[in-house]
Amino acid sequence: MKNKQIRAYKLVYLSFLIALATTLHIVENFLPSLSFIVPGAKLGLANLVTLVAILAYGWKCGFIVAVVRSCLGSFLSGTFLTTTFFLSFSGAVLSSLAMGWLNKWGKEKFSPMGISIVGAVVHNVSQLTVAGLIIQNGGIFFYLPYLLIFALPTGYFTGILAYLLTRYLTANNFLKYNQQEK
Amino acid sequence: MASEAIRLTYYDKLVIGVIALVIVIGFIYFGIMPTPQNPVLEVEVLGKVKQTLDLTKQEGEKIVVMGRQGYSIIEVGKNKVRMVDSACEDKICVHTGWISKPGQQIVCIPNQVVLRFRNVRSDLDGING
Repeated sequence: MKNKQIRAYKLVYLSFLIALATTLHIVENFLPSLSFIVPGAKLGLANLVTLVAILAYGWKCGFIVAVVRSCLGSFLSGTFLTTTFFLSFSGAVLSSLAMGWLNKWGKEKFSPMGISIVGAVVHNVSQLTVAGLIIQNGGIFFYLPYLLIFALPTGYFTGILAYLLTRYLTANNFLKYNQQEK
Repeated sequence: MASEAIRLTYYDKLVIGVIALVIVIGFIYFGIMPTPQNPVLEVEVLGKVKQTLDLTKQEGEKIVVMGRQGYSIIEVGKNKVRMVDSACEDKICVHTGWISKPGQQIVCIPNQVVLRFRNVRSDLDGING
């Protein structure tokens, strides 16, 4: 009985996080500012929610949020199963797995900022790998140093935001039952 | 209040250091490439070099190539080149703007069109490796 209630709560909060991530995913596409400096560079706002889900509920929920938000986001922006979708999907999946793994096995060793930076770097590398496969040319790794320069500050601030947000939501009993079922 | 946990750990700094090293090595690697006197621009469509452009002779021309999703319009300027329009959905290639130096490239992933300057060093690497 009690267990059922916990699962219902978790479902509701997870849905909320997915809705938030999808919104950020779409809003982020409206912000072209960074792509004038480095083509394709992004703030990583959608990954912020993935990190919140990982910090609050563990790697499985982070993975679910990442997968569902990149599918839903591309449905709503009309890019499902196009190259844009594969780029964002591969980046979201691999970076959420990397961040979840780091959070599980290196919780004392890494702060949320470190986890977030690693997630941003994995995101960049996996996207460039997929892009290189699509255009059948590895020369696109030319962009990697430029993208990594942006990955450091954006990953750092995304990590701080995710940490503060998780702490705030947990302290206000919003993300309650986060410890009972894992 | 929040300061106690917003502090980088030893491993965080290690990761940041490694990434910074990769950035520096990357810039040095791409920075030492020699600059050809007369750069030749390669237009690569669907993984194959479709045509090469001599920027000094073709100034002001507009070239249309068909990629995976449709057209890509390339404009040649004074020793520089840009993508004017493309059938892709994200237009990252158009936003890249003008490129003029060897090593720079315009990549349109959805349409699979790449504009890059032919590089002396990468040709050598192809022979060696």
